[in-house]
Amino acid sequence: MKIIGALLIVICGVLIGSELRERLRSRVRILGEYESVCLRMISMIRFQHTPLDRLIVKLKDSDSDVISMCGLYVDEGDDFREAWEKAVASSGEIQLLREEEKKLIKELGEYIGRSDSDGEITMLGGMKEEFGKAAKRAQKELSEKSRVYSVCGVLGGIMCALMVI
Amino acid sequence: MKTEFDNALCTMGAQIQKLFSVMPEEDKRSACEIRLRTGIPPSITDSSGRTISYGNERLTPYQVEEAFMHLCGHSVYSHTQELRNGFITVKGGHRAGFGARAVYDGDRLTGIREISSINLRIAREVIGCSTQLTDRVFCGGLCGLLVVGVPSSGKTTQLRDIARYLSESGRRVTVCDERGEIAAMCGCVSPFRLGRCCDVLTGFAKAEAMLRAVRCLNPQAIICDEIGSGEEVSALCEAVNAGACVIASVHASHEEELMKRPQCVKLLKTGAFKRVAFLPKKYLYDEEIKVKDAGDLIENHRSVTDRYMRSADRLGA
Repeated sequence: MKIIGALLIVICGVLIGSELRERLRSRVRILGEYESVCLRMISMIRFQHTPLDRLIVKLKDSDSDVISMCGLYVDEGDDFREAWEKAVASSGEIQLLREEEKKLIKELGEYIGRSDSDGEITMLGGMKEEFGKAAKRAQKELSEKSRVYSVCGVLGGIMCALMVI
Repeated sequence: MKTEFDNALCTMGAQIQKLFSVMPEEDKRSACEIRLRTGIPPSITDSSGRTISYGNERLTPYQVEEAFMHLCGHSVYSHTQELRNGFITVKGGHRAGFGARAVYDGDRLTGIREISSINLRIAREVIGCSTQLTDRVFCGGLCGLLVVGVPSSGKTTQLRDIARYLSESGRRVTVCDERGEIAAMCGCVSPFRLGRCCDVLTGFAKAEAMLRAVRCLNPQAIICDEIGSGEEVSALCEAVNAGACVIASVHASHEEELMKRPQCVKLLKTGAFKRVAFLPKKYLYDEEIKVKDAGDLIENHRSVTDRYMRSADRLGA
């Protein structure tokens, strides 16, 4: 029984380590997705001047929670800004991000659509760069810390198991 | 049931909608324009030209700015060209004009800022309002028609209904909708009934739209609003040479004013218009519309001009 309990504790440790690693990986994926969304927006605005409500509905297949939910709300008739705020408030993925990264996402929804096409493209270009830098930082953290989390998870589990035994 | 007024008000956002919540239903039916001005309570202009204010809450610059953003659909960039002309056409075909400060880059107007007032003209579809005109003008077959009237006399409403009538009777119609007011296309769909044979070119300059229509859409009738520039007259001639009839509108209050304008005389001299219809100041659809032969108008104008020239010669001699 003690051995089974110890094994379970080790497995828990491994799972906790995996979970922390997975969060880092998700953060990289989310920030990369926003970088890609900014690029798609630039393209649609530059060549077609697509209005924001149609633009966001076209992007609702995005991997990002906020973008896809915002697209759904706008499709249902909500105003873009209200839809963005609702999507940010109800998104689970936002919780995985740092404060400065959450701020970037809120600013994207707040500032887009207020200028002419050149202004929009410049603003989105800037946001794309910021998301790119954040994604690189997150990637660096992932490569530095993922092994640490896995090893700590296993070792922590083994130590707790040994204490139990 | 939502009225056209409610649909127009929706385009300004929830904040402005709340300010009109005290408005009686009969005022909604007679409203022609919704007016927002900073420092003044919101108001409407009704069909008799009266201004009626609602509530005591004075609009703040932020509220007017937010209404502007809502009207642009939070996409100012997609309305830049229209904003340079001072107005935009919103969902439903309503036209919003703005009192604002101009932004210039050198001598080129690039945009506007500090929106201080908004005037939203409510577009209404009146099915059958062109029956009087279509019965009188097209009884002998399709021909060119020039609709003349002052602002807000219903020229665009007439053109829209003429497009519907011709299209539903199987004629191929192309609407050259430079300002997006006639068909008000929104995401490829018009909120108005345009019939089964109607193509719409939205946002193109009228001259460009007419040439495109003739080259690619093979129309039997081309409909456009407020025609008059030199380029448009040339495009008109090309359209007529290609066999299309043109139905267009022009600003003037009566025959004398129309014939005093050189560009209107030029339009009539192209021979594109067989008939000219003069709408009353505030056309209420049961009044009689004056329809004259374009040839007679040109002839009268010629004899008046000849008389004037003879008098001038005599005085000179």
